Amino acid sequence: MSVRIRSEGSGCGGIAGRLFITVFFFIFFAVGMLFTVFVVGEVIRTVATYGWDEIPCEILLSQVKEASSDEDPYIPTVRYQFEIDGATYESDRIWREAKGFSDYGEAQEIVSEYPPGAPATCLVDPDQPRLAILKRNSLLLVLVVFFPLIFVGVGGGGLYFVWKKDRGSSQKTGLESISRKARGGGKQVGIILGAIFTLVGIGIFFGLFLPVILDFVDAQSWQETPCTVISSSVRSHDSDDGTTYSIDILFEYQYQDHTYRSNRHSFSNWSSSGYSSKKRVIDEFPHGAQTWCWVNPDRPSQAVIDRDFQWGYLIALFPLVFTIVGLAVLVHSLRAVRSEPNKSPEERTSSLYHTPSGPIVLKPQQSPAMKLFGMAIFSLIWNGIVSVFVWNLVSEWMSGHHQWGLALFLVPFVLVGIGTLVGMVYFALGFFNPRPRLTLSNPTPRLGERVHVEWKMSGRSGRIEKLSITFEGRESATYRRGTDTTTDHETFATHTIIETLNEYEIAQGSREIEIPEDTMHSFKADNNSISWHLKVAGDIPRWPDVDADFEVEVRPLRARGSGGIR
Amino acid sequence: MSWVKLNLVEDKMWFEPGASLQGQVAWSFDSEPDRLELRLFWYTEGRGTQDISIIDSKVLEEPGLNGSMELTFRIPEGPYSFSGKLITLKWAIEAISEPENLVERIELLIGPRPVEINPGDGF
Repeated sequence: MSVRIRSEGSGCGGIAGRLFITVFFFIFFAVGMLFTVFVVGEVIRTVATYGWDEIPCEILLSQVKEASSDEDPYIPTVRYQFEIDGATYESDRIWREAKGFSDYGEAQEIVSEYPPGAPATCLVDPDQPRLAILKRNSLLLVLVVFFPLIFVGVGGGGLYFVWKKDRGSSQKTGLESISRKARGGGKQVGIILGAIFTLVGIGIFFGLFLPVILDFVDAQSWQETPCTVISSSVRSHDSDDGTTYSIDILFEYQYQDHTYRSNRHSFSNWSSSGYSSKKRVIDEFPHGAQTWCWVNPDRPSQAVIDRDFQWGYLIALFPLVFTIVGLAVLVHSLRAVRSEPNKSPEERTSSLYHTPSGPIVLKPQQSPAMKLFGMAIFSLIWNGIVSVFVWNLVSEWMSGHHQWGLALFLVPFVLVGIGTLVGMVYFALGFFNPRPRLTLSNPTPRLGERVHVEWKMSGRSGRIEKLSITFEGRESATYRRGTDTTTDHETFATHTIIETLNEYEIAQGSREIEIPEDTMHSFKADNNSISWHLKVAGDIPRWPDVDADFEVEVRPLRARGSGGIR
Repeated sequence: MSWVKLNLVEDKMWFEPGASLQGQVAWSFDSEPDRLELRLFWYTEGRGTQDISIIDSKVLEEPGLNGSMELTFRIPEGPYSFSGKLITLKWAIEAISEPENLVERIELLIGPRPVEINPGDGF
């Protein structure tokens, strides 16, 4: 029953384990350092341009060239000349490094800033007069260095803690302090992870997708303009995950006596799998075809052929899943940290058992509205994402490309989606069920005490054929299995308060229950808990049953002071 | 060789909630320790990820090479020591020295009776 344990020092694991962990963290550290050095180098080169001389120069040529590569093929090209100390130099650098664009309009806007014959200001390296640029890179690049520094921190920190020496005793018996592990790191990790998820989700949504949505909305007021197709093709993009394709239709139009070009077919410029659907689109727009496009009157270099809504735009909502999950984790972790400020040992324990007086109406663990809302949100997001892939699959199938692999892969996802729709119907029907209202004479009864339970059904309780109310004790244990977090429950006690077919007793009633002395009181920790519940189950034939769960806080026996026997 | 020892009055290991835990800690170190900390805590074992909560602690800064000290902790109202199907909750006091990291631990039983609670009892 009692154990005395002594330790004479602790060790850090075998050599083989240490070496394996060392290699792991060293890779993190080395890769992080490589990228950090690269980014820092770029930052230094960018900062250096802020010390270059500003020299007047003359634009000789400015146009958009098309490269043979499918990746960012539109390259803004500006040729200019300038004089230094009587010598004439020419350059065609806009930035230090050449840049291409997938959007012709963006390249065209750069070029339009430097019309031929117009004066301009170029930046010249005072140490190398041949090196000149027209634009500096943004100093926001410095923020990128924090990303590889995370890897450096993780790798370096891991290496330090693996090889940190114990001072003093060289004896290693392997026994460690248990209480030392209580650092509350879980909450801090939760705050950091929640913040990262939230920021990443917001960053992706606002950076990549919100502009698409805003453009789509804005385009509804754009002007319809005749345009001519210059070229059309399906561009391919190779990556580790395979090849994706994008539509590239270059068209020309006149607007307010100026000639513009654009290659925007719709607002979703991203590439995706599915060659045939894109081929069908470009076949409608061969070279020389006359069509209509929509031009932004405030920025005529912006134009699009198809401004209609496309279901693919719903992908823009996907980053919001990261934001919602991140916010939930962040709020939960912040609440946990705030609820445990510096408390005395008495406060820390007794705060688990707050002692309001008088009868209390219990709140259900989950209201029918929350169940329906939760299922609806999950169904919307799940089916929204899956439907994009299903639509793509169906389009390919109808054009003769039978992607059996993708079809089989999508089957379980579609089944889950159907399940969520069925679940929504189930919870929607249950929303109209009679609802139990439970009143407890003592909001926080102690072990060994008697407590009075009153129930009353709202709504059409006559639909309930059989009512049972049970008092249950439950163990809950949360753990991680790989990347999944699982919570197991074990009901260790069930006491039936009432089981009745009598419609009057079903509608309302009361009972007294005695909570045993010899059992365990309510207990809540981050990963483990003992909880007590009043469960109400009402059978309704050919309809979702009434199923409500109310948690009851059971306090320990009243403390009797010092004492005890050996 | 360095050592740290914990002793409880009358070797009592079971305490009722609200009782006072009394004992003594004694030590002898080969080199000057930076600190010696005494902790009263509970921890869980079993299927779930371990939870640990330090209820009270006392720190001795630069306790010297040799010495002893009386210790007293007030046992809170809960949680009781228990052992269920998924979770076991245990209490202990620890004496930890730094930097040598010597650990002495005595497991305790906290509850209204001198037996570990089985949550399913009483039903």
